Formats: sequence, C-alpha cells, structure tokens
Amino acid sequence: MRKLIIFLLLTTGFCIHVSAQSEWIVPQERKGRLSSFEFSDESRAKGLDHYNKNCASCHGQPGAANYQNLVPPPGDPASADFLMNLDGEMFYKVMEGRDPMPSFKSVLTQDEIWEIISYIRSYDPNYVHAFLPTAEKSAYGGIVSITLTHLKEAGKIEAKVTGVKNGIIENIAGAEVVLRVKRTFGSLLAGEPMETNQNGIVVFNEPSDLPGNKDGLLELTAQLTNQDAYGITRADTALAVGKPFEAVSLTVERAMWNTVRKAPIWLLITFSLAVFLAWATIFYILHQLKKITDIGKNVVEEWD
Amino acid sequence: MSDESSNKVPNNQNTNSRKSRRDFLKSIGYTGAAIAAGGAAIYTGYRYEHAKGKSGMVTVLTNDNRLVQVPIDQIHEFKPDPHALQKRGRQGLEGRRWVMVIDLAKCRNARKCVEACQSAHHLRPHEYHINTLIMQDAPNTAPYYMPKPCQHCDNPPCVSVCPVDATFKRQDGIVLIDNERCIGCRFCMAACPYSARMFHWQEPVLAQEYETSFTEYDVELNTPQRKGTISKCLFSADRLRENEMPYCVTACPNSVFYFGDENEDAVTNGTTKETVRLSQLLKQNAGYRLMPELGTQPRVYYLPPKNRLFDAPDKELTGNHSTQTT
Repeated sequence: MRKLIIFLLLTTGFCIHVSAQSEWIVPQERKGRLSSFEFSDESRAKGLDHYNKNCASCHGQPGAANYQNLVPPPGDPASADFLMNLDGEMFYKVMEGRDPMPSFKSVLTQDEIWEIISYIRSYDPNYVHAFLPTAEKSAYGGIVSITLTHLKEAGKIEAKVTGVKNGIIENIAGAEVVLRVKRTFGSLLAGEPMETNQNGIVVFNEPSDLPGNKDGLLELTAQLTNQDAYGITRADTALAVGKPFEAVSLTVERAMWNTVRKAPIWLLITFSLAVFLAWATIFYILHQLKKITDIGKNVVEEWD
Repeated sequence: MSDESSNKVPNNQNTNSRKSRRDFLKSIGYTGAAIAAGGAAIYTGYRYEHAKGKSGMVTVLTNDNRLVQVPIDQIHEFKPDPHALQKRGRQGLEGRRWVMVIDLAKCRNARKCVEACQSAHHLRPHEYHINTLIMQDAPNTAPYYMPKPCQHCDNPPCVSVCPVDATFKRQDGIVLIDNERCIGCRFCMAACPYSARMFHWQEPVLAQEYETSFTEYDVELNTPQRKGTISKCLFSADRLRENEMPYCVTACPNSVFYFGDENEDAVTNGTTKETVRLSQLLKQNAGYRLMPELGTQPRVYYLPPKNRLFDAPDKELTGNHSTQTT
C-alpha cells in the first residue's frame, strides 16, 4: 500500500513537473496588452512578410502543422492551443522568448510584432479585435522625439530626447537610448545602450572603426529601448562617422583561377611560347621536306 | 435663249435634285457606317465578355506574397533574357564580399539547412550542396555535427582546373557553376579538397517538370539541373540579389548560421536575426577555417564546438581489468 502511495506521489509529481515545463507563464500585468493600431489587410500582409522571415523556420506555415520537432515543440500558430493566447500573451512571448525560442526584442519593433499577431489572428474565426492608440498606451502620455547631431570636433554623436505633453516641450531624463548602424541583413549595435542625462542628452562615441562607404558614410538609427513608456521613438540619419572604405573586387587580381584576361603573366608567356615552338617545329619540318623535294627535282633534271 | 433657259431650268432642277440625292446617299452612307462600326464594337465587346467568362481565372502568387486571381486570357508570358541572366550571374554583386560563419556549438543535426537547400535547387535526398556530418574526433569524445557547404575559396582550385570555364569566381566571392558549359569531366570534383561538389549521375528529380514547363536556366540558382553536369552550393546567389539571406541560413532552427558582407564587417544570424561584428565574433570565439594549410582561403568560417550537446559514447577503457581471485 505504502509503495503504491509513493508511486502515485512520484508519478503525479513527474506529471506536474512536465506540465510546468511546457507551460509558459506570462506576468499578469503584461497579459492585457493591446496593439496601438487596428489590424487591417495591410498589417496582415506586413505580418506575413515578417512571419516568413523570422518565424517560419521553426513554426512552419500556419495551419500546415509543419513546425520543427524541437523540445518543447514550437507548435502551429493556427492551432487552438496557440490562438488561446491573448494578444498580450503572444506579444510577451515573441518579445521575451525562452530557450530555445529566441527573443525578438532587438530584432523586431513592437509594431512589427503586432503585425505578426494580426497575421496569426487571421487564422482565428472567433477573434474579436481591440486596440489602444499609442498616445493612450504609452505611459508618458505625450509625443517623444529624438534629435541626432554630429559633434565633429569632439568625434561624438549627440542624441537629444524631448517630449511634448499638454503643449509643453520638456527634456526627458533617464531614458535608455541605443544607437544602431544599418548593415545588409540587420542593424548592428554601435556601443552599449546609454541613459539620457538631466538635459535629455546622451553622447555616443563615433563608430569610427566600422567600415562605411568610400566617404565613411553610415546609416544610423537612434531608438528608445523602453517602448512601453515612450512609444516607438526613433531617429534616422546618415553621417560620415565610419571608416572610409572602398570595396575591391575579388576578381581584380591575376590568378590561375581567373579568366583568360586575368591569367598570370608567366602563364600567358610560357603558354604562348609553347604554342609558338610547337608550330615553329611543324613549319620547320615542312620546310625541310619541301627542300628535299626541290633537291630531288634538280637531280632528275641533271640526269636528263 | 430657250436653249439656255431650257438648259438652265433643268440644270437648276438637276443640281437641286442631285444635291439632295447626294446628301441623302451621303447620310445613308454615314448612318450605315456608324451602324456597322457600332455593331462591330458591340459584337467585339460581346465576344470579349463571352470569352472572358469562358476562359476562367487562375490563382497566382505575386512577388509580395499575395494570392490573386487573374483571367487566363490576360496572362502574358514572361521570359527572362538568358544572356542577361548569364551576364549578371557571371559578374556578381558589386562591392560585396559574402561570408558565412557556422557555429558548431549550436548544431543539433536538424538537417533543415539540407532540406531547404535541396528543395530550392531541385535535388534528391541523397544529393547534397550542404550536408551535416557527424564528427567523432576520438572514440571517447562527445560527437558534434558539422554542416559543410562549399567553402567559396578566394583561391579556388576547382576553378583553376576547369578546362571549359564552366565554373568561375565572381567579384563578390561566390564560386558558381554554369551547367550549360559544363562537360562533366569532374576535374573540379577531384580538385576540391572539401568534397563540396556533386555530380548528376541521374536525370534530375524534376526532369519531367522541366519538359512540360520550360524555365530559363538561371546560373545563380543552377536550375534546371542537368544530368551529366556538376552541381554545388551557390551561397543562394539568387536570394542575395534580392537582399535576403541564403535558404539554409534562414531555415536553421538552431541559430547555427551567420551570414553577411565582410566589407561591412557584420554578419547576421539566420534564426535570431541578430547582427554582430564579424571580426569580434571570430576573435572572441576562436573562429577558424577548414584546411588553412592548403592556402585555399575559404569564405566560410567555423566556430569551435564548445559545450557539446551530445554525450560521449559509453566506452570502457581498454586494458587489463583486474579480476578478483580468492
């Protein structure tokens, strides 16, 4: 009897452990979060694009149940289990991630995540959409903007964060700002994120060791990390702060593997010489043969 | 006079009557022409509408991933220019030096890179442009998996030996194969120290489809594949042209692949889409290239398989076990 009780206890304990592992708990205050815009055909189309680029490699195509066999399983976004999540829960999970699902905080903007959710919701016939416009949503309650200035002499980039609330312009202190540089497939962090001072100013070092174009031009983006508090605030600019860099074609040098025009000179010379010598030998032999026939003709004449 | 008058009157009458008849005929002519033109227009319209109804619709996937329906009779066939495809395929993308970094510590042998590659390039399950190899360095060490694509060497021995200029290197570093020039001599297979190339011994898997629907040969995708020619990893040159990462890189669920432009000193992870400095990534993680002693200068870097994901096989140490004697 005691053995049976122990066995039961152990098995229930194991079951609880397993279910806790597959459950993904979202903090209560994050569950009720809503998008700042209304879902539309446009947002669904954009969401599909983001989905294919960022999610499809593990989750497969919604409704096709062709997700990866990982632990825990990624699941099909069009399945009931998945659609049971509130918008806020989905948003939290995409933002934060857990092993092995990566966090998309630094990859997608909040609006992009909402676009993905709007796309996934198109597979949910029972879904009732609700949204909260940005001004109501952000804790600040006003409009925040960043101004980027290049301090050439000092070799720094200054970002000033100002907010407009109830018609009053003010500097925003203690807001974390990141500076990113655009690269082909993503954006690269230029230094660590920093917080603004009392004047709403944060100063970054120039990413002077990063290759730009031939004038050292880099496409920079400054962004506030706390999107809950300030909404999506970003400033884009192009500054000549990088390392001037001129790309060199990989096929420009002479090499064995290159085209005939770019073949090594020693190869061109030896090859041409070899061909010339071969033909010269043939012509020499032909010439000698002709000489012999000519001599032969003369001899016949003499005998006559 | 009488003649004149008699001439005049009928003349007048004649001209009057002639004019009116002419006008009448003219108006009849115009009306007839108008009716004919109108009728023809209505008939054409009717025929068009009739045909439109009958021809039916076809569902088409557009470039921006939308499914739309188009009437069949309004489809215009689009054929890419083969010479333009060849020319751009040979030149490559200006100002780029593509580079791949493979993090061996993360590979779990999901083989999604292999599958994505095979479906993009029309290959059979046993035909590899990229393969994940099981690496067992010693009998008592933990195994790891190694995805191995073409290394896209900067000093490619395969290109040096090609007698017909079928395989070539482009300005952006990619080594491609043109199967319209390839004679199937397999010199390049013999020259490649990484065994990155494969030979089409059989008809390609989609041979029947190629016959029914003609597709222009694209050297950047190497499709349609052809029996008796070489095929190999192309760094998905077709995707790079559209500013997207290669098929294998985006298909990986385990964040194994980084891809980027060496000229920008940045690579982006295909799974997490996180962008990092290439120089730092290689320096901090002891990045290396395969067989550096050969001087082939590959464009694929590996990060060592630290923190092995799989256990070492349970093997007893060899030697004489002491046996207890009583």
